[in-house]
Amino acid sequence: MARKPETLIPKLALAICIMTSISVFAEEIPGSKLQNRSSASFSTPRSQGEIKGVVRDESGETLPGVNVLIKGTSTGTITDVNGDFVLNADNNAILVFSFVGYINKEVPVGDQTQIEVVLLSDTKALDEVVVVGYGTMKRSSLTGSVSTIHAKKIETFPSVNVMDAMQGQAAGVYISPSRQPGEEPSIRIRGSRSLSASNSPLLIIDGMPGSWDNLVSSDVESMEVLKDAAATAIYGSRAANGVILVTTKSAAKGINKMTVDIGSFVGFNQYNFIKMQSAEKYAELIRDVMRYQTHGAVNTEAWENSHIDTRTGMGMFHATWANNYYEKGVNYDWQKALFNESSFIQGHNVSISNRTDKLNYRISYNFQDNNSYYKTVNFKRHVLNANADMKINKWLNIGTISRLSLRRNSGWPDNMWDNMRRMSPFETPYIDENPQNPMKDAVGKEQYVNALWNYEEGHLLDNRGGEMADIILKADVNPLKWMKFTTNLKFDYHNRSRGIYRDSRTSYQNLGLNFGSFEKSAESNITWNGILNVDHTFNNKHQFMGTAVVEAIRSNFESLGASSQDIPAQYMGFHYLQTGIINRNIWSSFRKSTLMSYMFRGQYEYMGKYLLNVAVRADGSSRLAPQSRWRTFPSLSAAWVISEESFMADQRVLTNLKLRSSYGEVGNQAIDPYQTLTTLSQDTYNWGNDGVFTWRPSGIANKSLGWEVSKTWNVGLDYGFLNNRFTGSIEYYHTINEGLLTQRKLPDATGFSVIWQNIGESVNSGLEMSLTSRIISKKDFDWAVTGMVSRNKNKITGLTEGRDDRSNVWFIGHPIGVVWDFKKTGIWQVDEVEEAKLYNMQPGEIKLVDRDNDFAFTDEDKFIIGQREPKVLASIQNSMRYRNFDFSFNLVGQFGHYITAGNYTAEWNADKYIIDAIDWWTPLNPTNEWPRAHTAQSHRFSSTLSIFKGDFIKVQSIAVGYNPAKLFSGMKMNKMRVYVQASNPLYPYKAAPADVNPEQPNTMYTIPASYVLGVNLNF
Amino acid sequence: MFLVLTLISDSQIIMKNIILSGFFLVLLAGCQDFLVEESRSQMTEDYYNTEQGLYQGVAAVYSNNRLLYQQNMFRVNYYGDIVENASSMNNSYAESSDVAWGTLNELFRDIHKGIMIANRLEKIIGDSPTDRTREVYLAEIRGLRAHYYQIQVELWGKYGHYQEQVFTEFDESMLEINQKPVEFFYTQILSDINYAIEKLPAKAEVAEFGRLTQGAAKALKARFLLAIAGYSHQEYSTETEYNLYSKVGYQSIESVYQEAKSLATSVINDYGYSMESEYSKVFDAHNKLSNEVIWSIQWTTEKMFNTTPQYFHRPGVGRTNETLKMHVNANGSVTASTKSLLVTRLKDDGNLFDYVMPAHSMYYGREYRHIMPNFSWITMYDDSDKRKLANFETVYLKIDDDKSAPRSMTDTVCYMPLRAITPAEEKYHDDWVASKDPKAYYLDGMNEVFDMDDPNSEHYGGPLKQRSRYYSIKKFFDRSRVEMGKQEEGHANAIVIRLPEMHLIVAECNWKLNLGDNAVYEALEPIWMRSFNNLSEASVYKKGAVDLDFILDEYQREVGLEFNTFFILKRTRSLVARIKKNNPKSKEEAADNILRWRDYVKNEHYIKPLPIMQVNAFRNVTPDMLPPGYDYGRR
Repeated sequence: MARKPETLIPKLALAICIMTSISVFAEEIPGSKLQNRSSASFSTPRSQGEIKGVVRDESGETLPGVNVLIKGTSTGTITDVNGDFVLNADNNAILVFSFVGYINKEVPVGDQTQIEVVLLSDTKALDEVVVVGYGTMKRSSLTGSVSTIHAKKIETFPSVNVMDAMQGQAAGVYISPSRQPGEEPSIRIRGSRSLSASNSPLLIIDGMPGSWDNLVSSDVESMEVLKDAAATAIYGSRAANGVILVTTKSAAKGINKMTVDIGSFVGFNQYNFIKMQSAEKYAELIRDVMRYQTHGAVNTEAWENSHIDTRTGMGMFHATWANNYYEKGVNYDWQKALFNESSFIQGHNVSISNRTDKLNYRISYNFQDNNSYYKTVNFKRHVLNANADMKINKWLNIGTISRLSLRRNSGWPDNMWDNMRRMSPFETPYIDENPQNPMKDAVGKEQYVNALWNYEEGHLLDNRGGEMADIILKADVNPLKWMKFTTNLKFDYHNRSRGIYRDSRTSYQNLGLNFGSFEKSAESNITWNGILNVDHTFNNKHQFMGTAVVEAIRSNFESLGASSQDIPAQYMGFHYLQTGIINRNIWSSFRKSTLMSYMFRGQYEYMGKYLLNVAVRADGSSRLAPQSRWRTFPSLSAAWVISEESFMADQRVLTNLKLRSSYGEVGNQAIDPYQTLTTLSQDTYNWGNDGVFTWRPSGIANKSLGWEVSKTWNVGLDYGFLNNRFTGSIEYYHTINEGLLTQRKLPDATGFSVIWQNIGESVNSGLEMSLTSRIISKKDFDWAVTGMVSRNKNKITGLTEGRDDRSNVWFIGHPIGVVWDFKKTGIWQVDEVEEAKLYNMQPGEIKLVDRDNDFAFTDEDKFIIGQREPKVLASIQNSMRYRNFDFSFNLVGQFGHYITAGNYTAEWNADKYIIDAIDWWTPLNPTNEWPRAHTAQSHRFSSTLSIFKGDFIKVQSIAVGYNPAKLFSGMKMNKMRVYVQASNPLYPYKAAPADVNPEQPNTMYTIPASYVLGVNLNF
Repeated sequence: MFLVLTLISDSQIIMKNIILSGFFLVLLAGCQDFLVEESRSQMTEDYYNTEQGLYQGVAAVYSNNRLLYQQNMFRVNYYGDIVENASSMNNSYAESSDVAWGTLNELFRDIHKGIMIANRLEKIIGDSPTDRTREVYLAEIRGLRAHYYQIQVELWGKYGHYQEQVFTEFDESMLEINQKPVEFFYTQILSDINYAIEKLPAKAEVAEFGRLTQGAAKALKARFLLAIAGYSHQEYSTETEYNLYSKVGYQSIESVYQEAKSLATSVINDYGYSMESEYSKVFDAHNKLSNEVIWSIQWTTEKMFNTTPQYFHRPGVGRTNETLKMHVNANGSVTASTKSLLVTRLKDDGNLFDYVMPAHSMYYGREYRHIMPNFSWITMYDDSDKRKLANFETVYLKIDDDKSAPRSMTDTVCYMPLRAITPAEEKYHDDWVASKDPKAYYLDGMNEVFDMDDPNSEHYGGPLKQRSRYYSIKKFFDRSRVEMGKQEEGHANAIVIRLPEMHLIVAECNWKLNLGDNAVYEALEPIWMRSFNNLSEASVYKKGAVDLDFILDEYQREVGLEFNTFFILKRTRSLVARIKKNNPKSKEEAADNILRWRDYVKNEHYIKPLPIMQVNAFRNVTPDMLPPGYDYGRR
C-alpha cells in the first residue's frame, strides 16, 4: 500500500478527472501514515534508556527544530526551542541530526546519556533557498546576479524606512538616506540610467508589488536584490532599474509551539547644526559692506583710514540693529530657538507565530514614533501584519497575507532655512526686545515674519495621514510532485490625506492671508497572477525547471481637494474651508493604468554543473501608444559550476566556484499616464472684474511613445574557498539603455514646450565585488567580516539630434547628472583692477577661467567638473560575538563624485545671516577664497563656491548587544538581547567642509544620527 | 468513505474553480480593452468644437497676454533712453544683448503660444464663420495674432518664425524654423488687422471689458503703420525691407501717415473714449474701466481668476527705508551711500520712539530695484508739468506698517525734491533728525542719485554708483494689493494703448506730413491741457522747430515705459543716438570703467538676438539665419 501513491502519481497527470476516486486513496494513505509516524516518535519510547542532549550551531547558539532520528528507523524527535531533545535509544543506535542549512551529522549513542551535538552549517550553502521572481530557487541554481540581505542585518536599525537600513548591505546599491521621518530615501541599483523616467527599482513584497511605506524592518525575513537582466527579465517592463524582492517573516520552520517575539527601542536623534557666524562677525560684515558702498573696492588707503567702524557701519545699514546691539546688548541665538538639537524616537514590535502540520501563522504589530529638528514634525506609524498558510490537503495550500498600516505625520516649514537667515541676531522675538512682552510679528530689515510663529500652537498644520491595506490571497495547487500551480490575488488600497493650515504669521504666508487646504486621495490596485512551476529531475542528472506566468495589474487613483484663504478663526484649521472667503479652490483627479503580461522561464541543469536559463516576458501597458504598447523582453543565461568538475575534486582550497554569464533585455515605462493624448489645460482671465475660465492646449499627443529598454550583459563569478571560510562574488556588467524617455524640447513655435520621446541612450558598466569571511568561528568567539566594493560607470551616448542638452545638463559621453560650471581661480585683487575691467568685473568679485578668451563668461566657459553619483561605493560590515556579547559595525563609503552645497550659495549679503565658514574679501583681506559681501544682491558665479568633492566614509551603524538569557532561564525565555545601537553617528572622513553633509549637501542640517537602547525577547 | 469522497470532490471543485477562474481571468485580461487608456481628468482638444469650449478658447488667447505683459514686455522696453539699471549690479545692461536672455526667450515662447491657439481656433471656425458670434471670435483672434506677429517682427525682423500648420501630434516638420522676410510678416499682419477692424464691434457693443474692439484694432493698426513707415529711414536703404510700405500695398509714404492719422483720429472721435481729468487717475489700480483705456490686459482682485501670472511686474520702486548720504571723494566727485531711514516720532502715549520706514509697503510699493528713471527723463518735464510729480515719488510720509496708507498727511519722513540740495541743507536736516525732534525729516537731493558736479561735463546726469534709493516710478504702484508690502499678486491692469497715444500719433503724422509746427502743437493740445494748469505754460516745450526729439520727448513724458519705449525708438531709428545722449555715465562709474548701455548699444540692436533656447530647439538653423552682432558661441 505504501508504494501505491508513487505509482499512481504519473497517471494523475494524464487524467485528473478519471483519477478522482483513486486520488482519494492517494490522499488518505500518506496522510494517515505521516500522522502515525509523528505520533509514534513522541509517544512510544523504547526501553533501552533515555538520552538527553542539546544541539547547537558552530557559534554556540542552540538550534530548535532539529530532526533527530534513529538511523534505519522512523523513530525520532525534534529539538525544542532550547535545542534540547530527549529520546530513548539503544546503545548501538546511531542518531542522525538533520536541519535545513546544516550538514547532517551521525552520532553513535554508545554509553552516552548526555549528548552535545554541534551542527556545522552547510558551507556550500547548497540548500539556501533564494527567492527569485515568481518562485524560489536553490542558490546553487542561480544563473543571474542576486544579492541577498538577511533580516538580522537590518532588523534593529532605528529608521522608519527599511531602505535606510539597507545602505551598504548589497554591492552596487546606492542609497541616499532620509533626513526627516517619513521621507522616502532614494535608491539606485547600479546607478541611474534613465534621463527623465524613474530610476527607482521595482519593489516586490511576498511576490506582489509592494510599498516601502508599510514595510517594517522587523517583519522582513530577507531581501533579494535582482541586478542583472537574467534575474530581472522576469519582471519585464518594470525591471530596468533592478528589482528588490522582500520576503516577510512567517512562522519559523520546525517549531510546533507558539512563539512570541518582542522588540523595543527608545532613543534620540541628534542633529549637527551648521555653524552660523557670530553677531560680532556679522557686524563686521555689515561694516565692510558699508565701507564698500562708501569707498569702493579699490581704494585700500580709504579702507585703512575709514571712519566707518562696526558701530557706524551698523548704524548706516540698520539703525535699529545698531541700537539693539550696542545699547541693549542684543545677541539672540535664533538657531537655538528655532531647532531641536535632539529629538525622541521609539519603536516597538510584537509578533506571535506558530507552525503546525496544517496551519502556520504569524501576526505582528509594529509601532514607530520619530521626530525631527523641526518642532512641528512628528511621525507615528502602526503596522499590523498577519499571514497564515493552511494545508487543506496534500495538493492544496491556501494562504493569506495582510498588512494594514496607519500613518500620521506632520510636516515642516520647508523654507525655514531662508526664514532663519532673515532673523537677525540683533533682534529678539519679543516686542521691544523684552522677553516679558509678547512676540513680534516681523523681524529684520525686510520685516519678515518672526520665524518662531511657525511653532505656535495651531499656526502651522501639515497633517498627513495614510491608511494602507495590502491583502494577498494565494493558493498553491500541487497536482503532481513536480508541478505547482500558484495563483495570487492582491488587493491594495491606499488612502492618503493631507490637511494644511498656515496662519498669516507663518513663514509661508509671511503676514499675508491665512491659508487652509485639505486633500484626500485613494489609490487602489488589483494584481492577479497565475504561475505554473514545474521542477523535474531525470536520471539524477537532468533537472528541468519551468515557470509560466500570466499577470494583470490595474491601478486606479482618485483624489479630491479644496482650499481657501482668509479663514475666520485659527482653531478651525483646515476643517471649515468654506468659511474662507478668498481664493476658494477645488480640484479632483482620476488616473488609471493597466499592465498585462505573459512570462515564461525555463532552466536546465546538468549534474548541478551546467546551467542554462531562458526567460521571456511580454508586457503591454496602457500608458504607451497602441502600436508600441507591447514588447517582449527576453533573457538568456548560463552558469558553469567549476568546483563540481572532477578535475577540481582533489583540491581542498576552492570549495565553490561558479561562473555565470547572462544577457537580457528589460524595460521601463515609469512615466505618468496620458502622454499619448493631446490635452488642454485650464487657466483664467477676467473681463473687467468678471472672472472667466479659459482652455489652452498644453500637451501634444505622442502616438509613438514606447518602452525604454535596457540591454544588459553580466558576467559573474561566485567563489568560496577554504571550506567556505571565504565566500563572495565578482560581477561585471555592461548595460545599454535605449529609447530613453526624454522630454524633448519642442520649438515653442509649435505652441507646445516639450514632448516625451524615446530618444536618449546611455550606457552603464561596472564591477562589483564582495567578500565575506568568517575569520574566527569558535564556540565562544565569532568574527565575520563582509566587504563590498562597486564601481559604476555611466555615460550618456545619445540625445536629441545627437547634441548636448545644456539646459538639462546632459552631455554626450558624460554621466547623467554632472556638475557643469565655471572654474573659479580666485578673487580679483586690487592690483588686478585693470585686468578685471576687461571682464567688466571689480576687485572682490569671483575670478574665473575664460576658456575661449573672449572676456565674457558664457556657457562656453563652463567645465564638466564631475559626476554627482559616486563612482565607487564601498562598505564593510563587521560582526563579532564573544560569549553572550555581540558587537557589530558597518562602514559605508562613497567616492569619486561632486556635491553642491546650497548653504554656501544661498545669497550671502548684509541683509542675511550667513554661515561662519565664509571669510569675505576686502581690500584689507585679499583672500582668494570668498568674494566681497554685498548689500542685497547675490553674487555672480556664486555657484562656483559650493562645489565640493563628495567622498566620505561613514559609520552607518554600530551596535553592542548582550544576551543575558541564562539569567532568565526560569522564565522559559529562548532569547533575550539587550543592545545599544547608533545609526549614522559619524563621518570619520569626508572631503567636504565640516558643515556640509556629503549625503544631503543641499539641506540645512545633516541626516540625523540616532542612538537607541533596545531589547529583543523571544519566548 | 462516501463522506471522504464528497469532501475530496469538494476540494476538487475548489481546485477546478481556481483553475477555471484563473483561466477566465486570463481570457478577461487578454481582452484588448484592458489596455485602453481611460481618461477622465483630462480635457482633450475636442472641447473647442463646443460653443462653450470655443468661447473659453478665445479667452485663452487673451489670457496668454498676461504672460507677455507680466514682465517681459516691460523688460524689453527697459533698454531705452529714459531709465537706468537700478542698484542691482547683476542686472547688467549686457543681458539685453545676451542670446540666453530669458526675457526674449519667454517673449518668443508666449507670442507663439498665442499664435498657435489662434491658428487652432481659426481652423475650427473656418474662413466663413457661420454666425456673428463666430465672426467676432475670428476677428478677435486675427487681431490678437496681428498683435503677436507685430511684436515678433519688430523684435526679430526677418529672423522670426512663421507658423501656419496646427499640430495635433509630433511631426518632424515642427522642428524647422520658417523664416520669412519682413514684408511677408507685415502682409499677414495687415490682412489680419484689417479683418479685425472690419468685423469687430465697437466699444459700446462690447460688454466684456478687455476684449478687442474696433477702436483698439484701429489703434493697433495706426501703430503698425508707423512701424512700416519706419523702414523708410535712410539707414535701411541697403536692407531688403527698405521702403517696406511699397511692398505691402501703399503708394507712398505719405499715404501710410495719412492712414495712420485717420485711424488715430477715428479712435479719438468715433468711439467715446475720453481722457481722465488727472494724469495720475489713469494709473490708479482701482480705476480698471477707465474710459481713457483703449486696450488693457486685465488682472483682478478675485484671486481665483488671477492665476499665473498673478500680477504685472512693478520694476521701478526704490528702497523706501533708506536715505542717501553724500561723500565727497578725493577727486572731487560725489558718491552717495545709503543709510537707514530712521527718525524719532511721538507715540500716542507721548513717549518718543525710533521709527524706521518699511522697505516694502502696499502704499509705496513692493520694491524691485531693477530700473530707475534716469536724469534725462526726470528733467524732460518742466516743473509746471503736472505729470512730473505724478510720475516720480518725492515725499515719503510715515506709514504705520507695510499695509497701511499714511494716517497723517503732514508727517513727512523724507523729502526728495527734484533738484540738487546743498551740503548745508543736508547737514541741517541730518542735525535736525539727530536732535530727535518728532517733526524732523530727511532731505535727499537729485545730486545724491545723479552726478550733478559739473553741468558742462559729459558725466552730468550720470547715475551714482550706490543707488538703492531713487525716485520711484509712481505709475507702476499697485495700491490695490491688500495683504502685505511684499505681496507679489497685484490687481492693476497693464494698459497697452490709451487715448493720449492717438493724439501723439496724429502729432507725429502731422510732423511727418510737414503740416507745420502748429499742426503738431494742436494735435498735442488735449494732452497738454491735462498736463498744465494753463495751456500757455506748455509753450516751454515749444522751443525752436519741431523735430524728432521733440516728438519723442513728448511720447516719453506721456507714455514713457508703457510697453512701447523700444518700439517707438526703433521705428524712428533713434535708439542708439537717444541712449548715447540721455544715458551719461557718472564720473565715478567712468573712473571704474563700469560698462553701461551706452557702451553696449549699437546698430545691430534694432534686431534682438534670436534666443539660443529657440535656436537650439529648431534643427535647421545655420549661422547665416541668426541676427548679426551677437555671440552664439561655438555652433
